[in-house]
Amino acid sequence: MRDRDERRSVGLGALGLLSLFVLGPATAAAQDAEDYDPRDMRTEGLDDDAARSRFRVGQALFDEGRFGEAAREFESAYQLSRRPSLLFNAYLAYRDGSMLEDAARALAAYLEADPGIEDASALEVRLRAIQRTVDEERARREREATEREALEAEARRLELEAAEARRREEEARRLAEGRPLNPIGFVVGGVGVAMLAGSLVSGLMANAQVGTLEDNCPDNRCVAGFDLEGERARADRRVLATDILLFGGAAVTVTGVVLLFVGRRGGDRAVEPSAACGPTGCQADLRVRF
Amino acid sequence: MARSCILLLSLGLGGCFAITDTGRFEEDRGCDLQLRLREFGPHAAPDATLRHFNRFEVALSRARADGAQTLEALAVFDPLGNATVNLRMPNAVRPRTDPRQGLPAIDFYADFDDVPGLSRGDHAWILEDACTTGPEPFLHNTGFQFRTADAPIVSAGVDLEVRFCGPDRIFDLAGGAEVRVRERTPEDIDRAIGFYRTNDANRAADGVLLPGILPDGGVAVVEVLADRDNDGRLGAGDRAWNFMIGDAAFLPCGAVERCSLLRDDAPCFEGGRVVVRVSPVRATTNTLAEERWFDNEP
Repeated sequence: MRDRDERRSVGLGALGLLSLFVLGPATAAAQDAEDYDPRDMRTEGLDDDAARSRFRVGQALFDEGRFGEAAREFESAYQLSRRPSLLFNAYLAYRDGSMLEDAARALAAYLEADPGIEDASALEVRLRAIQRTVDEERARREREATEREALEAEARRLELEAAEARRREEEARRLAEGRPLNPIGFVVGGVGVAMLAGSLVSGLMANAQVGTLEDNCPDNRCVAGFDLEGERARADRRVLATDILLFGGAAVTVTGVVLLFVGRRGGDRAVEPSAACGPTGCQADLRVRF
Repeated sequence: MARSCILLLSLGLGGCFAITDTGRFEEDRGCDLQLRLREFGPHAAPDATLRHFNRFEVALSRARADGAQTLEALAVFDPLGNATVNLRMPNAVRPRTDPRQGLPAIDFYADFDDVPGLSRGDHAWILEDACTTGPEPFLHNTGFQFRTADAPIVSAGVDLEVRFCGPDRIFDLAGGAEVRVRERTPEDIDRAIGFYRTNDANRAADGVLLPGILPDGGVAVVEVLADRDNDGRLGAGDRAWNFMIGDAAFLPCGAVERCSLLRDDAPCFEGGRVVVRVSPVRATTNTLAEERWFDNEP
């Protein structure tokens, strides 16, 4: 509500200001004495054409709500005419543009340029209030900036850590891919496969032997004169050998496959042979890690 | 890939071997021919007017290597005489000597239409494995089974005729008559190959014919029992004879009469069959190799 009143008063002030430029300094002075409002723009001594032109531009920008540009026009007009009231106008424009730091600066300059103004004390109170607000705002911004920087730093750190983790993971993967399989696994697995192959051969032989039994023993009853016990013993031996080779081979093969991968440990060697000789004899060690 | 295939093949074969049980094989020792008939009342008695009605025949046969279903033993009840009959012919089922031979089968039938021999009007059954199914009680039923015409039972042996000679036909036409025939193998094992039994000697007044049961050129023993008390065993009042059939039995009977009354009359060969003549003058025996080959125990 106060902002609206201020705008309206500024508008009225601008209108009065415009008439002051048109009617001349004497009229303007008379009007200042009658309708002074500290929130209104001030136009004392604006009789310079260039300054007046800047003032009008500023006035128009102000009416459009382009407060920063308006304030700068008012300050330019001040530079041309050195009339302190333009600083007050710049203050108002900065203030309405929420540029409190510039508003404080303009208001301070105004108070300094014209120490004799009637409402100086009130304006100084306002200046201090604005400066407090500016200081608080600045402190807040600095605090936020500090926090933001800290957050950004933390984010950068986390990103770096993630990148480092990715790099290490990739490196570990490359190392794992390039790591040789455990040779013990090859040996054990090879033995297992050989046993399985043996079981195949033995199985075929056992199959042939059982086939002989089946051929001579239709309906599981063997013909007279057939050496059942001897043939059965041979078949049983081969069947037993087949089963041992089969299941043993399977177990050894699985063990070998496990050893292939279990023994992979980075650059460390899974198998560490060592030998040493001393005055009392020699010793050889084979250390296997799995 | 090839290694995987070998591995799988090995595993598959090994799995088969792992469950192979060679204990299931056993030596074929043969067995007694057993047949345990139950509820055979309809075939227990003969018909007064029909000669062949209810003549009951049991044939043990086996498919030989050449596929021919060959007779190995024959038993005849003329008729069964009882609704419950247990037949047991010692060592009748020989062990197989060739893996191509089939299982021993028991074909048995009751002549129900009085047409001599097996015909479609008779009651007939078949047990496929004599050593396993024979000992099981067999209840009379109407699920009659007949061999197909293209696989009949054929005989590879020689017929045996046992003639009862003498004024009283040796039995005085009273009581029962029984003939038991055993083959004596080179291993000196007696195997039952023929059996005839009647509780009414009148039905065998002229003798008994057991077709195709004698091994050609082998040795056989024939036992004849005049079972006056009809208990199936040699007891007081009964008479029994035995005969050895060897190569000499295949000599022609020559001028000898159909029924001689010689004390030592030997078997001879006549009309394509071996003839054994039993007469009152021939020496009897006090013992039989087995007490009885059949009973009526439930």
